[in-house]
Amino acid sequence: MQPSGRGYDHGVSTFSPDGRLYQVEYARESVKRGTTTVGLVYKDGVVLIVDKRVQSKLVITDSIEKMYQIDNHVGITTSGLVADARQLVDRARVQCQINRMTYGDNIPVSTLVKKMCDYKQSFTQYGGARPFGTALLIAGFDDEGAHLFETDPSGAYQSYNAGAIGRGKATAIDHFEDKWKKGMTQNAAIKMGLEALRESLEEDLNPDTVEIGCVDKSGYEKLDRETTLKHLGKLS
Amino acid sequence: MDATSSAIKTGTSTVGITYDGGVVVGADHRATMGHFIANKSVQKLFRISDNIALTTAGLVGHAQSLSRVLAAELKLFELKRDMPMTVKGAATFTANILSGRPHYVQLLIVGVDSSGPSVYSIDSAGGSIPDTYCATGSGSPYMYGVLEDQFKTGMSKEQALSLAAKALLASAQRDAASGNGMDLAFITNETGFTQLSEEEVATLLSTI
Repeated sequence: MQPSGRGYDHGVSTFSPDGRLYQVEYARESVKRGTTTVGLVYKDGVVLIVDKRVQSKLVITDSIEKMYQIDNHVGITTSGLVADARQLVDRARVQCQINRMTYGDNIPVSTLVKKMCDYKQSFTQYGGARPFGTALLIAGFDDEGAHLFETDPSGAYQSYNAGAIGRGKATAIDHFEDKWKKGMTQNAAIKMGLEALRESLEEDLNPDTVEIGCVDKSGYEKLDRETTLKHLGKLS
Repeated sequence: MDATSSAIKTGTSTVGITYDGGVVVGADHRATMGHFIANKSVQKLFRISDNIALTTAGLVGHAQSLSRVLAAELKLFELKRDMPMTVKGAATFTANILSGRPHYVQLLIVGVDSSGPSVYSIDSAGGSIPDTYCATGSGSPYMYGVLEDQFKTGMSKEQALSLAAKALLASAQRDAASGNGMDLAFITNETGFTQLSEEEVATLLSTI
């Protein structure tokens, strides 16, 4: 039964009779249409890979950001609305520094994830603003070791050994479920990530727009173009 | 009795010296409460980013809180803009904090950027003045004696380190609120912030 005049998808905080929040599900749709990004845990850390789909060769690829350093020990890739992602990235960076100022230490990765998800969740319960149309893959290294988290627009999060978000999620996850194993080297993990990403794309990987980031005990590092091309060259 | 006379102060001698290609920075280790030496191993030299260091004199609490804020703000600046803050930028930023809410401190912001090495001295109300070399704290008059005599433009890193050590040694000898050893560091565009180990400081002091 529809109430007179309005459906259940106008207010973010209105449940449908079968218990769904349509605006949150619509936000998840924008993630499903977003760029595919993958992440996987290896022996000493976590690797994140994204292909910044560039629509035109006129675009300066460096001006597009899909992978962000958040703190010395945390990196993020995003899928969905880029403008929403930038707000979340800004907030994550500030949270890291607040933790350091308050307690004098790096923020534990799970604490950062929970803080970000508390924030995202608040946009599903209070009216007046829409949820973030963005999922995040959060990779970090702390006292507990390497972590990879996925967060979605509702504020739900899960920790993964290997994960993916965006339009190619299902294909990439299939690939990881088949191939991922514990204790891989960094090179093996990057190769597996690139293969998963390649399988999930309709077209070939564009060497100019693939970005690879690694987080291990020495911190976050985005690989330079030369190293990235070397890894791409190892794909058969 | 006001709060500042009973709280721990660093008395202090700190020094920043520009040289050809970089900047050298140093500070002593003593904290005092009146005539009492409250601590013999206080950190007054802080790395606040890879290209900028801070030295502090004055109330330890104010100094430490400022160093935390600056380290966080400079890191955020670097992440957001993908480039380090300039030394002038950091000095202006710090001065703005102090002019809004004065802290009982005297600071040096020293570092290198694309315009070369620089030293800024910053007072408790936010006055910020660039210089080629500068000393702060209760030991500064003794240090200036050494600096005025021996500073020259175009020194090497080794000469500048040696001069900083000499100045800090002089104030340790004559200023009751300074001493108990020193921290020394240098910053260049190539190496970033590099602090000398205890052994390296000892070796340097043995040559003076």
